[in-house]
Amino acid sequence: MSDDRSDQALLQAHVDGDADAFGVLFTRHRDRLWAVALRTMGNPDDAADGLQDGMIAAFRRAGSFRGEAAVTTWLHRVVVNACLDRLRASKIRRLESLPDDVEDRGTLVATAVHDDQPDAAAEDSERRRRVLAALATLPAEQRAALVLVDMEGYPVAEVAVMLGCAEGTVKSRCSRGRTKLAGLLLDLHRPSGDAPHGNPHPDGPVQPIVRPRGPPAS
Amino acid sequence: MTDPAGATPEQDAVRRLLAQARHDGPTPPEVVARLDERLASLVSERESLPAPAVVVDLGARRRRTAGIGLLAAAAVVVAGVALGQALPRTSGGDDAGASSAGSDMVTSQEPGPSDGSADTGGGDAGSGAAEQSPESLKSAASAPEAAYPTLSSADTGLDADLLDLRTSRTPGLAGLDAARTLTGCDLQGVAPGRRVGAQVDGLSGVVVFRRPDGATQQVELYVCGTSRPVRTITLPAP
Repeated sequence: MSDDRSDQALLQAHVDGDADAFGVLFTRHRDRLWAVALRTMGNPDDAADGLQDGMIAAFRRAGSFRGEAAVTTWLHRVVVNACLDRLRASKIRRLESLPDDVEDRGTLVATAVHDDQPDAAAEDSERRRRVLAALATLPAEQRAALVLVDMEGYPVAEVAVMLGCAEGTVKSRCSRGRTKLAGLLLDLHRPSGDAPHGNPHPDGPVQPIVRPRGPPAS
Repeated sequence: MTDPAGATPEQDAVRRLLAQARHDGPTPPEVVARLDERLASLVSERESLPAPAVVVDLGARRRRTAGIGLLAAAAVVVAGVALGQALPRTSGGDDAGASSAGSDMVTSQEPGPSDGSADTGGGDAGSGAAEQSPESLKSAASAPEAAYPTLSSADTGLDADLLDLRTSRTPGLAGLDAARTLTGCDLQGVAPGRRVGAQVDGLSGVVVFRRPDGATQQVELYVCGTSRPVRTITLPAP
């Protein structure tokens, strides 16, 4: 049964003691919060922990919501903060492990588009794996900014509220993160046959310098 | 949707790649089940909670403390003036005035002229009264231990509140009866550091000021019953 109450009305009802209101509200935004947690944490297990921490915090902090931003912005802020706190606390080393959610539902959906083109599906899957692996190498704050701005498509101003920082800080984090990713993903965004110009990016992967061998000269 | 101004072609390409790697699927059923279970326990916890404890806003507390200080300072001035006017009549060179001044000197363990005149005795008595007042100020400021500062982990001004709390005279939990003031608060998993009782997000909690590390100091907010901080803040070292 759907609940037609607005987000703010549901949150207020929760504060006033309505036992079901918070569940309705959280369920309404759960999938998008899950996507943010998943991409910020890098794997489903940590994402589930982060999302649960965020849900608990939001449940308990509902009384502190002042209505200065949309409820969904506030929910994102609480969940992202919970994820970042968890990342800092557990000092997860993104460089040590690649994301293991490559075969998550988003990938399966993308793959299904190419179910009659196995090569294209494999290429999509590999590209996604590379992007997520590169994303995982970024500092948590840069990663969170890119997830919210470039993946989820939220406006910079709203992301600034979510992350509790200035818009300029969000832009700076995104710019630095994209520059780093551009170096790591050179071969993905450069058309094939277009050889790179100038020096390689200092943070980029080492490019192969061995040319294909020809037949031995006789 | 974003801020493309000033983006290089490489950055635009990265944005496209990131958008393509977006997660579009629903929350996995096992995660939904876990969240639903936790939510049910939160609801039942809330229904069984007693009425919330006394909540004191930090800003209000700060203003009240300043007000008490001003009031006490004014009282000291009034008392000093009144004493200054009264003493010449009561200690006008007789033995009672001299012995009173001598008594003050004994209790304060300060050397002074044993054969002081009436004016000297009056002056000592006056300074004794002036020294007492700051002590009464201190005790007045630290008396309400039952009232805890109120903090919200989502507050944008949390840094300022924590800086204020760090420099305030709020006693650490070691100086309080923790069992009485934080009933049911399990502090076993809480990180080491200076602990200060607080209302965190409307619940009993504790603020842990970790040992400063170089130019920074990490501060963690805990809600009673959870071993994981609800918020971690980095402050400049004191």
